[in-house]
Amino acid sequence: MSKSDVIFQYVTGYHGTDAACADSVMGKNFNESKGKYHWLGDGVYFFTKGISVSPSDDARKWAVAQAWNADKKKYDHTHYVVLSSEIRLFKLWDLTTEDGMRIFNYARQEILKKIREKGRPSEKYFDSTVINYVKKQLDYQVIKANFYIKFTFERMNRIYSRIPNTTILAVSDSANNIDKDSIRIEERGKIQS
Amino acid sequence: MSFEEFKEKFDSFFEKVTAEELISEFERLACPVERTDENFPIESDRKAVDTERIVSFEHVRHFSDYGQGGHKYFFEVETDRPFTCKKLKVKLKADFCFHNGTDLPLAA
Repeated sequence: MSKSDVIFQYVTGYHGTDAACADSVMGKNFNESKGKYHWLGDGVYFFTKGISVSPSDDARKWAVAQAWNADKKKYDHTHYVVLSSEIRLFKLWDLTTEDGMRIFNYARQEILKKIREKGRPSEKYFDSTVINYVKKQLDYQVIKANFYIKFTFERMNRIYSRIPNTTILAVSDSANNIDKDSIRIEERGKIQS
Repeated sequence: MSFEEFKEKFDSFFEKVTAEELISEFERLACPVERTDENFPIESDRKAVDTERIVSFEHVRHFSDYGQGGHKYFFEVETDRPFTCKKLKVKLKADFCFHNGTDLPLAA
């Protein structure tokens, strides 16, 4: 994929993860996360420029926060890495805009109305499934949204907020929307235990 | 895509989607749906009831003390299938009824 071939807008995304995962990504590509507990449905998740003070810092803080195993009371891994990549904003569903949010609220409203004819979602994280459903039907490939995400500091100090603190992207079809040649290591570090 | 464009596209396919199809798709996407339509069990159970094993059937129209009308359907069913409807705990040759089951099969 060459950027000169296309006119799509690209943004830089930052992905924080276990350092051991870096080798499986470099020169290849990211694997899409699947599951109902994701913020924006299935996809590869990145922090990106938006409302955050620093998306690369957010990626690092996320990698560290996610390493903590609350059951075992210890970190699952000892080192983190922050990877960056150029993301193609192809078939973008932008939930940072009023139109994007109206789309989501309309879809959720109509879906709920129809489901309520025969039942009710018993899943707490219903939004993610709404997004997966709409994505499939309307072929959205990149979703952008602002969220309040609790990193280690917010978790330890129990800081709750309804005001978003960062901007994230969920990217599907990574082979076409994530420029694998642009993937690079921004930062490596040790997780302090 | 603007909201208006989205709405037009979404409505055009969504109006053709039935509640059952939507629920099935959500369950496939790992979002369980609790059935509140207790008038009748899910489609697979309905088939078991209305095509295979109904032994007897009785339909009773009734009115409550508050003037609300409804239907009761009494089936005698032979089945070894687990029913998913909450109100149906069917054992072999058990009697049970449905309330307000207006979409029930009327042939038995």
